[in-house]
Amino acid sequence: MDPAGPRRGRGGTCCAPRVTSKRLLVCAGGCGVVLRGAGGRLYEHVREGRSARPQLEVSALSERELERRQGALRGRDLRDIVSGTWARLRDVRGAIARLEEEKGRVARDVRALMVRHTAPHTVSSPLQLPAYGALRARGRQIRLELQELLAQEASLDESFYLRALQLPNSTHPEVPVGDESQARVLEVVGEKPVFDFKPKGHLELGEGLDIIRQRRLSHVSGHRSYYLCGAAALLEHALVRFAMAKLLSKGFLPMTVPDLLRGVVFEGCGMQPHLSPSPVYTIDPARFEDLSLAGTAEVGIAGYFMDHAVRLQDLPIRVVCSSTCYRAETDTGREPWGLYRVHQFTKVEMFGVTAAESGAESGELLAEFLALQKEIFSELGLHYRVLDMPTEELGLPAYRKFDIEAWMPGRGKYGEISSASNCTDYQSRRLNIMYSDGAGVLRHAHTVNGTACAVSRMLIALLECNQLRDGRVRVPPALQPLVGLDVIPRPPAPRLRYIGPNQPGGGP
Amino acid sequence: MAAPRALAAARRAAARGWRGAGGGGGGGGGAGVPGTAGGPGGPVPVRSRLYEHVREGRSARPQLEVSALSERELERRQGALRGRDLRDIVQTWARLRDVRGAIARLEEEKGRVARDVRALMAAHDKQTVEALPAYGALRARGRQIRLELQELLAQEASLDESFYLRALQLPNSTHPEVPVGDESQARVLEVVGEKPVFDFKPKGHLELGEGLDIIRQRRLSHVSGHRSYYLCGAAALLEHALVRFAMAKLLSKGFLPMTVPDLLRGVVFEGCGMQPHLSPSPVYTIDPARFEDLSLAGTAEVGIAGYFMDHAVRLQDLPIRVVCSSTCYRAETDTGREPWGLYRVHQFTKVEMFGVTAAESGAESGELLAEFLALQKEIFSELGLHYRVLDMPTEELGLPAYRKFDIEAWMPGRGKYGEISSASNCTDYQSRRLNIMYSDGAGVLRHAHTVNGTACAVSRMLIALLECNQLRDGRVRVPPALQPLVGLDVIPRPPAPRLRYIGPNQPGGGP
Repeated sequence: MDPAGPRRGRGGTCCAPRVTSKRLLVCAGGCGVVLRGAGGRLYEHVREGRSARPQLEVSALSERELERRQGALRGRDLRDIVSGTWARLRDVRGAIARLEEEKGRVARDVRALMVRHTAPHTVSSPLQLPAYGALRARGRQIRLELQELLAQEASLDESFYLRALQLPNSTHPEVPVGDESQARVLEVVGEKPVFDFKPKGHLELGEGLDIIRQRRLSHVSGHRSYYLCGAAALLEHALVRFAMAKLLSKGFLPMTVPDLLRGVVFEGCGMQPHLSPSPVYTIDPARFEDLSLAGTAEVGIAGYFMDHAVRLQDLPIRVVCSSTCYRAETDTGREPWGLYRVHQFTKVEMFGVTAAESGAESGELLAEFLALQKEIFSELGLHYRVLDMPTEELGLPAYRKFDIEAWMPGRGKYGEISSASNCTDYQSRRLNIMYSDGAGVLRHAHTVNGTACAVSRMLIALLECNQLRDGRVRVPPALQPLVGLDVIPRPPAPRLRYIGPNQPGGGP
Repeated sequence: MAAPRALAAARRAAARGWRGAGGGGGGGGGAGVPGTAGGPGGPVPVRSRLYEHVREGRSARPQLEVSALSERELERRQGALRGRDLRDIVQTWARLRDVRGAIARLEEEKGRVARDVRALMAAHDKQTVEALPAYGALRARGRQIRLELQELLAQEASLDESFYLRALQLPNSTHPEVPVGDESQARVLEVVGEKPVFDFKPKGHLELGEGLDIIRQRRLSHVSGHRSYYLCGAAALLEHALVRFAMAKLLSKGFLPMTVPDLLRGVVFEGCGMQPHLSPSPVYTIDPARFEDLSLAGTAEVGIAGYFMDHAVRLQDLPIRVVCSSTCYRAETDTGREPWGLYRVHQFTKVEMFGVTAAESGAESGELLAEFLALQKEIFSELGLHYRVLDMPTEELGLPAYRKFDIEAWMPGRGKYGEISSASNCTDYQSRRLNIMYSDGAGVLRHAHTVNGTACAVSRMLIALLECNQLRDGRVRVPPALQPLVGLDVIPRPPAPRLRYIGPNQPGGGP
């Protein structure tokens, strides 16, 4: 078994998937593809009887949609799942049902024989009747066949789910096809700020103002960790307040959610914590089994609705949650300094649960989330562009996804500051998030999520766009009342002086 | 005092050899206590991240003043180490000092021998010199010195480790006015406000919260584990309002706001006087198979201390007062007590105060502690709480505190007082371990004093506020100070439950 995680086999797909006793999906045909722990926690959770089986509609997905996503599974895998495993599972279940029925008839016939032939006046025991013997023999044979079929069913069931749970959502027909270069720019708002000096990067600005610290922290809090002091911390609080206030005024329901959650919720959301390397921090399993840190409040909020139904008349439910997000981000080569790729940051998240009566409700909510994001970023004076993300950037759960990238003059390029995804019924089918419609019938809801404000990214854009020649930074007017400053001043002297034994440096 | 590179390298090599021989855990001369190894006079923790950090040369050695602690103070703390251990530690320190003296003398002699040898070799040609008896004697002496030094260095490494691993477990000194004894000996310094009077039987906060559909704890063990909870609607608004209220007050008093990492290395926890290697540990650790030495902070104190670690601040900037709102994670493995409700939870938001003071007069930290206490009282009084202030006794101080004041608020649903804040003066305990210094008027580096205190622990505040402000029909009044921030004066009853359970399990799953 290859511990390095999922790999492409020869020809790109797995030729003979097989589930091992450890619920790892491996290739029995030697093509080498290992789909490690795929859907493992969710399946285990279901097998333990804690939630109902996800009702996946694998036949609703087309091979073309699947190919365009360029995920772990391809057209051939889909055929195997639908025409192979699912069809066989259906057949086996059919055979089991027929055998169960026959078993019932045999048992009734045996009882009937016993009743007829144990009256006090009979001479011989019914046990000696040839019919009795034949029935009992048939009964034994049925039990043996059932045993075998049940074992097959369990194996096929597991094989089906562990693979089907890796299938992505369908794709909206207007989504551009291809990789990230195919993202379609839908709109550009604002203009790049013009500087009569060379603009600095946010880390240099932050260090100069003594409001961001990243140096000498690897033995304190690890790589890519950072402190925000003074005005940067005030900006963080102001950004959270600003986003929260706006969304509360629009009727969003505020929530505080757990950051430590079980694997089933991550998988149900379409995240794959068992990928290697995983983007998720897990607590030491030797002490606490199956607890991981959420990379977004989406996981916690989805967990709230899991295995519950809401009422049609209450939909759409729009939730806002400010939380600390933890991301293992093991791609340590890129941008090792600065706030662009960090392991911990504060984010205000929007999450929606909609009905699926017309099927258009979630698309409408996605558009509403996008409009709210634009409202927030415009009010903060940012220059940004809105992108319709292409098929290869949708991940597993998204039917459609819009990203917003803000201009970051210090980095010299646009950088993602928000995302908004319509997951339709992908998450709700896996987590049993339902609603009861007008007739009281339970149906799968649709879920939508979007970033209202990712503080670390916003700080980059705001610091770099609002810098002055002398290194001070203007505070955007919308935040001035919340920060209490209009310009972040230069400090009179550095707050700290390093006195440890190591060489000078330890920074970019 | 900087040691020559070769000497330092020899020390590290000797230490590694010593550790491998017997100190590393199960195989060594263990005293049979899990998680420890045997040492002269008592159990020694198998691992100290702080000591390792120092041995790797990442920070200077902590300058601990073990002789400043008295046996009586130590006994009264009733911690892991006792009077006898202290004597052993002081003795170890004396032997360490002697060994270091012997090493220094031998090093000096080694230098003289080397100089004499070089002088001889300069004065004579090669063949003549090797025949000289003086030369042979010097070379022999040189070899003997190296052998003795090797042995002494190994002894030094062993004594150094033995000293630090135990000395780092010693507590701080104790303020003379601290009551002696266990928690029953806490002295009530002040009582503020009065218990609210109800003409009905007051409900507990969880029942209130569930009734208003603003707190959820049921059916979460397979979602987010035991003792986890969701705050919805007005409870989440209250949380944000409490954080804003506390932050605004402290910012107006000149506190420096900070955002700190929640994932930190063991050295910082140990330097703060927390013992993450205790079993069971109160700290969540990340799976070491993927990320080595990262744990979740149970309080922003750890992150803030980490900011000042190995740095010096300027006397004129002191005291530095920091405020930080963060999510705190606590493993709280005492699962028997109060398994429901918000009193013992694994995750909660807390606004923390942290101070760094000078130690010119030695009274600065006590003054800052008094200031923190006054600020806590201001916050709790403005929120309309009824509470009492306690001078915590010797057995409740933990390792780092010289003095500690707790505030307990009346919680009518629980029917008793419950801790809502703590304030500790750690004097130079943390600063000696983490090298938090300041440069005084003459530019000399001295250990700062550190003080910390809770401005607002949201989960505990919610209990007190919900239970004290409840109305007969289950609604809850919002304290006037928070009304502008929450946007409500009373938390209304919901028209219908937001969620209906549709899963396969039996009804219940709650208290």
